[in-house]
Amino acid sequence: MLRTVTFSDPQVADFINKNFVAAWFNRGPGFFNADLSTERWIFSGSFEAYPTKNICTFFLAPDGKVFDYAAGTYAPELFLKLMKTALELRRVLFDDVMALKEGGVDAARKIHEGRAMTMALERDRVNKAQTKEDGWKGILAGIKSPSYRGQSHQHGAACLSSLSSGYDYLARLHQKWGETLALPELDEIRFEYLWGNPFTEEAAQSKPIGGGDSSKEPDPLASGKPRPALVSEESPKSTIRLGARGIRVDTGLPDLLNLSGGR
Amino acid sequence: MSQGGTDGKTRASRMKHILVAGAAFLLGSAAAWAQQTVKPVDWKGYSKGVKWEKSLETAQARAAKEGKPVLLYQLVGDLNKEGC
Repeated sequence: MLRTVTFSDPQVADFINKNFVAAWFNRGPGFFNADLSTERWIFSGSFEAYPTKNICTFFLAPDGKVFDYAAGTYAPELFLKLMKTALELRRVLFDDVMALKEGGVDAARKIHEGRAMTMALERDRVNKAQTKEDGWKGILAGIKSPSYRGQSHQHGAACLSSLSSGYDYLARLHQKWGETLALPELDEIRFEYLWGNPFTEEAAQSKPIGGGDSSKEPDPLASGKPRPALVSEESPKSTIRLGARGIRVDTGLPDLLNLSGGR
Repeated sequence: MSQGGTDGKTRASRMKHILVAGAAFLLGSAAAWAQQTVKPVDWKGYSKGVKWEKSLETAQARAAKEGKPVLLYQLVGDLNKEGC
């Protein structure tokens, strides 16, 4: 959803191209994207924010040190806010040539602490709106309802749940960043984020193959090899299975949602 | 006569109901069919705006040159193929 809707938003794309150098990375070759029916379910069910750990946007210095990230998918308006925070962090942490400034980490910690409070307030605002009939209308007034693969997403009360989980995740994430003194290397947190549960069975099968050029990646369908198990047999009560593609929403995880079908 | 007239009216009324129900069924079926046969928008129409670097390494090199941070999108699957 992030790539199909958010990255396709002209405002988001312009902001990325102007302020960042973008690259992508397939962290789970051999895993399948959700099929169209699953995509439709995701899109119609909850869209505004969905902190699945299967996708993550990292913000890095050119030397590979991570100074911010956000797991999951976000509507264009929310993703723009995330990027603006990342840019604010970039300004206090680094100079014009992206060298670390003296005192930059302390300044960044203060920003994280402030953002943690803001996100927690947003979460509480959304939760309060959930108790009111039509409360979603005020919350979602500033968020577009874009079309997606020939369909239109309709805002509704259900959207508040995803939005609340997104704000809750971001509040905790910024709080954790605020407590951190150093900027981690990408490889330190690539498969186990600074905050959030570690990856499970799929992490063990992930191979860093690099991003961008997908032409060299072997097609798991063509290989005839059996697909990796997408659904863990553990914690069956907290797992929702949908469709033949094996989408999993593991609501039993402490904070982050797990969607093995990809988003 | 009056009884036959009543029967005729009843028949006409039943017929009307059947036609209405039939039309509703056809409309419902058509809507369901349309829903099932909605063609997804061509994948190439998506994610065109962002200028993606070929690899993280090239992105880091360009970022160092331009004094910009890197935005690295890590996902399950392939950005250039079908998916969410």
